[in-house]
Amino acid sequence: MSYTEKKNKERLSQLILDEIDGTIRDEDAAELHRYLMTDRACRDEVEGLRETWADLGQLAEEEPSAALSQRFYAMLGDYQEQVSQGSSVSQGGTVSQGGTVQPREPGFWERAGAWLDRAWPRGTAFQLAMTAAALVLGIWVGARFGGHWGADSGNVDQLQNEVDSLNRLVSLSLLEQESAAARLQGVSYSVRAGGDDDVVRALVRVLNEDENTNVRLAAIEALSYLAQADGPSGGASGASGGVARELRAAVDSQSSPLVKAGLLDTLFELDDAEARALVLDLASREDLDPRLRRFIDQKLDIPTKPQL
Amino acid sequence: MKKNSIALALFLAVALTTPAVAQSQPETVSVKLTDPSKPAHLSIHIIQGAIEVEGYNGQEVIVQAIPEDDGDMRPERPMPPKAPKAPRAEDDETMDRRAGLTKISGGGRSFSVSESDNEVRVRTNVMHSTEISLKIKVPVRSSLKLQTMGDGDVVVDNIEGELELGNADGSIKATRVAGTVLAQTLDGDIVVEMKKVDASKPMSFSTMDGDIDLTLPSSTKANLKVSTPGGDLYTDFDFDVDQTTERNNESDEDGFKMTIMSKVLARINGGGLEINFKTYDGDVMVRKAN
Repeated sequence: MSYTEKKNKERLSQLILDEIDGTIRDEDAAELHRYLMTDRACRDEVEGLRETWADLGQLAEEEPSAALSQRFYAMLGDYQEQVSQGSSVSQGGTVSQGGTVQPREPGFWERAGAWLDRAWPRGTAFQLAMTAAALVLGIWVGARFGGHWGADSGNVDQLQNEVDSLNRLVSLSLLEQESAAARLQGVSYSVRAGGDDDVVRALVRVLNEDENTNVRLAAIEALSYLAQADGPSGGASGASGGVARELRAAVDSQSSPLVKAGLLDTLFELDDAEARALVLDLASREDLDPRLRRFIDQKLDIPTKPQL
Repeated sequence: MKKNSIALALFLAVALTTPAVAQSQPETVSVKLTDPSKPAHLSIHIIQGAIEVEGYNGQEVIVQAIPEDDGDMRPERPMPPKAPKAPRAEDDETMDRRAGLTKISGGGRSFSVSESDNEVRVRTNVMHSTEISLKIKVPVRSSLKLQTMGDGDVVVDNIEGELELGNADGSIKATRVAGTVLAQTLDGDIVVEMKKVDASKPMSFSTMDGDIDLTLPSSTKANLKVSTPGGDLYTDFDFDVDQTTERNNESDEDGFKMTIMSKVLARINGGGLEINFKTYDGDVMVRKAN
C-alpha cells in the first residue's frame, strides 16, 4: 500500500468515526458523502457501525460495584505507601510527613482561571462586564502592588503586564465558549494580549479543531500577527518558526479550500522558506479542489484553464 | 459518549421508523420549545438543498421539508420483524435519559429533527442522497447555525440573535437581522442587511469566490478589516483608513510569483466593533441603511 493510499484510508476511517459520533465537520461530511456514494460495501459497513453505536447508547450506565471500590482503595493505599517510602509526587501534589498525598496548592492564575471557567457567563452583556471587571482588576493589581501610578516606568510596565495577563486569561476563556462569535472575540483578545505559550497553543487548537471557518481564519491571522511580533527566532513557543510549522501542517489537514488559501497567504507573509514548495506540491495534485486550484493559478500567474 | 449515543439513537429512531414514501411529499412538523420564554437555537446541517428561515411572532419552530428527489442510494431491504423486548430493569433509566428530548417525525428516511433545551437540530443522513430544501419559521429571538453543502441558497429574514451561516456552493442572504453574523461561502455572494448590531461581539464574512455586501445602521461604529486581492472595498460611510498592505513577491527564475493578500483597515464613525471581510475573488460593499 502506498503512502498516499495509507493516508487516505486513515482519513476515511477518521471521517467515519466523526460521522458516527456526530462531530464531523461540514466540509468533511460532504467529502464522506461523496465517497459513500461510490462505495456500497463501505456504506453498508458504516450503517452497521451506526446501528451498533446506537445500541451501545441504549445500555444503562453501570454503577461501580462494592468490589470495585475495594480494589480502588487498595490501589490507592499501595500508591500512598510507595509515596511515603520516599518517591516524590510530580506536579499533582506534595507528600506530607504522615505520608498522605496533599494536593498541590494551585497558584493564583490557576485559581483565577478555574474560577473564571466556572463563573464565566454565557450572555454577551455579562461577558463584556466581566471583561471590563478583569481589566479594572488588572489596573488595581498593578496600582496596588506596583506603587503609585506613573511613579516610574517599571510600575507602568508591571501594570501593562498584569493587564496583558488578564487579557490572556479572558482570551483563553472565550476560546472555549460555545458561541462562535465569542470564540472570534477570544481570538481578537489574544492579539491584544500579546500571546504567550498557552495562548499560541490555544490558537493552534482553534485552527485545527474549531468548526467555524471564520474563527479558524481569524486564528490564522492572530498566529501570524503573534509570530511577526515575536520575531524570526524560530522557537517553538510562538515565535515565527514554531507558528510556521503549525501553519504548514494545517495546510494538509484542513479540508476547507478557504482556510487552505488563508494558510498559504499567511505563510508567504511570514516569508516561510517552505511555502513555495507547499504551493507547487498542491498545484501538482490532480484531486485539488477547483476553487483552490483557481486561487493557486491566480497566485502563480498561471492562466486558468477554461471549464469544459 | 452518553450524550452522543442519545443523539445517534434519536437520529436512528426517526430515520428508521418514518416511511420512505414520505419522501415525495413536503412534510411539516411543529416543534415545541422546552422554554418558549427563552430564545430558540436552530441548528441545521444538510448535505444538499436550500435553507430558508423566517422569524415570526410565534413560540414554536415550524419545519417544512421539501424533498427534491427520491435518491435513496440503497435498495430497500426487508427488515425482519423485531421481537418485543422483555421488560428490563434499566428501561426506566433509558426513558429517563430521553427525558427533555422531544422525538419528532422527520420528512423521510434522510433527515431528522430533535429538540433539547430549546435547541432544535435538523440533520440529514450522509447515507442517503436525497436533496432536501427546508423552510422554517422560528420565533424572532433565535440563534441560528445553518450549513448546507450546496445546491441551494441560505436565506434568512427577521431574526434577532447570533447567526452562523455557511454555504459551500451557493449564496447567503440575510435581511432584517439584528445581533451578530458570521457567514462564509466557497462559491457565492454574501448579502446581509442588519437593522441592529451587537456592538460587543466581532463579525466575520468570508468567501473564496463572491461579493460581500453588508448593510449597517448608519450610526454603527466599526473597524473594518478587509482582505481582498481580487476586488475592492466600496462604502458610503465616512471612513478613515488606518493601514493598507499589499505586497508582491518578485518572480524568480522559474516564473514563480506569489501575490500577498491586500488588506485595508478602515474605521467608520470613529471605529469600534470589529468586522472582518475576506474574499479572494470579489468586492466588499459596506452600506448605510436607509
